[in-house]
Amino acid sequence: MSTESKEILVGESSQAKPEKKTIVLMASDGDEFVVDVDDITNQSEMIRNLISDMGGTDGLQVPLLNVTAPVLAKLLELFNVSNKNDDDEEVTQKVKELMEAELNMMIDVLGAANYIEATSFFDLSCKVLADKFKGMSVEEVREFLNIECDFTEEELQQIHAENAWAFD
Amino acid sequence: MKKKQSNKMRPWRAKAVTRRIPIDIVESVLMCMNPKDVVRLSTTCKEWRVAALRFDITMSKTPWLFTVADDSYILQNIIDENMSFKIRIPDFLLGRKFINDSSYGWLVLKSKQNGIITLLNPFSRAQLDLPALANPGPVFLHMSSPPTKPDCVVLLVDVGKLYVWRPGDTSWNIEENMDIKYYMSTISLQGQFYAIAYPYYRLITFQVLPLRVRKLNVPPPMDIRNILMYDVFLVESCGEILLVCIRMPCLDRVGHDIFMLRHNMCDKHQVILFRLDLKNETWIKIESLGDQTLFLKNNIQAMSISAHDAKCYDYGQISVV
Repeated sequence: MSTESKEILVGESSQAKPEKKTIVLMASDGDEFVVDVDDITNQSEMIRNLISDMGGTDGLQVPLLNVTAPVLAKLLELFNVSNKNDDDEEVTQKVKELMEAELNMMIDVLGAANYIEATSFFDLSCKVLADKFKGMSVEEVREFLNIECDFTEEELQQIHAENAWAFD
Repeated sequence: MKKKQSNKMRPWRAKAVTRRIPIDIVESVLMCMNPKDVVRLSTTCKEWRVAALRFDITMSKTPWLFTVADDSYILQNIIDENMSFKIRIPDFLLGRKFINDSSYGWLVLKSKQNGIITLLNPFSRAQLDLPALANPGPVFLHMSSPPTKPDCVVLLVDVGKLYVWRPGDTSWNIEENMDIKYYMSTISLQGQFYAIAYPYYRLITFQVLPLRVRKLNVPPPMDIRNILMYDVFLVESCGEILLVCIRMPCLDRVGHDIFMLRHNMCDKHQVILFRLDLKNETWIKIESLGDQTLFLKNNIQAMSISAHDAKCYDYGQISVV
């Protein structure tokens, strides 16, 4: 009995574990990135849906027209951190570091994450930005993001007057 | 606004940001912030302002719990326990008493000296003094919309009298020909007011200016002796008028005098729901609130919001204050 059940077990596990399935992501400049199917579908709803629509992953190439190679490389690197860690602490830290070091890149990575519907990563990154902005004055946020204030002084005064509770 | 005039060498100064941050990212960032910060940061630029207004939490229909503590009042969102504000009480409110009423997010206050009724928006702190009353008797009955809307009607009620005010009026219009002593749970729908008239639990509808009261020929949905064991609320839900009859013990208390009735707890022995069929002048018993969640207050006020907005999908996640 025991040998029989062992055989079945071996048979099952070898069936469930073929070599890892991969698909190819193509950046806007044509660079190809081979990614593990489980790793990417774990993050991206768009690719998850695409695979289920296509009925499989065989030879699947996904062109990402809005994402350049450096941005895609960075995004996949962060996905990797996220997939390797059960909690979000490590990846949050990496996103924070990216924000402080290369804000341009971080904005592009966020755009790409939004595009491929990597919802939990996107939300986590937005939270990092939100935490940053919380401690800043409006002037500092404008400076940080290089945003021009297009309100007149009167318009600003009116918003302050109408929302006095928020400016205590 | 606080100005931080610290050193000019801020760490991010050296690295020029050239990317324009896409507005849908801004929106997602603002969405995970405290509303106070959202309003503050909405002054960054016009695009951000528009994004922020799209989901202004203070405009949401979910109820807030209001408490007064020393020189401040605290607004606690009933749905989201992390959402609360402490707001300093403005000086002009001193000497006024918060009476236990609110409507469309506006609080009703009464001056201790002259009985003048004031409406206050607790977030914007906009206030509106209603005209003086000859005697302090009338009590707040109903407000048909926020007082910033031109078609708003505020109703006070006193023995046999109905006091009517509309924005712009400098005095109260008083209707004396009221043969009904007491209205329970008044609501308004498309310019018509509806109320349950005590003691016979008949449904009446009325218009004001001029007052035209019509007793609808809709009998109470159950025997009077039976209905006395229930609290009765009228509530407008998705354009329909509902009558909610509740035996008190099954309500969840979410705050002082505020109870919450969840869409999934309509045990027929404890809560009975009826929908008004105006054409056939009858109450029709319904078994479910559908997607709606009701909030009931003080036996006079009720509101209906979608279960999604009330985050009622997961029963266990609701925090009871």
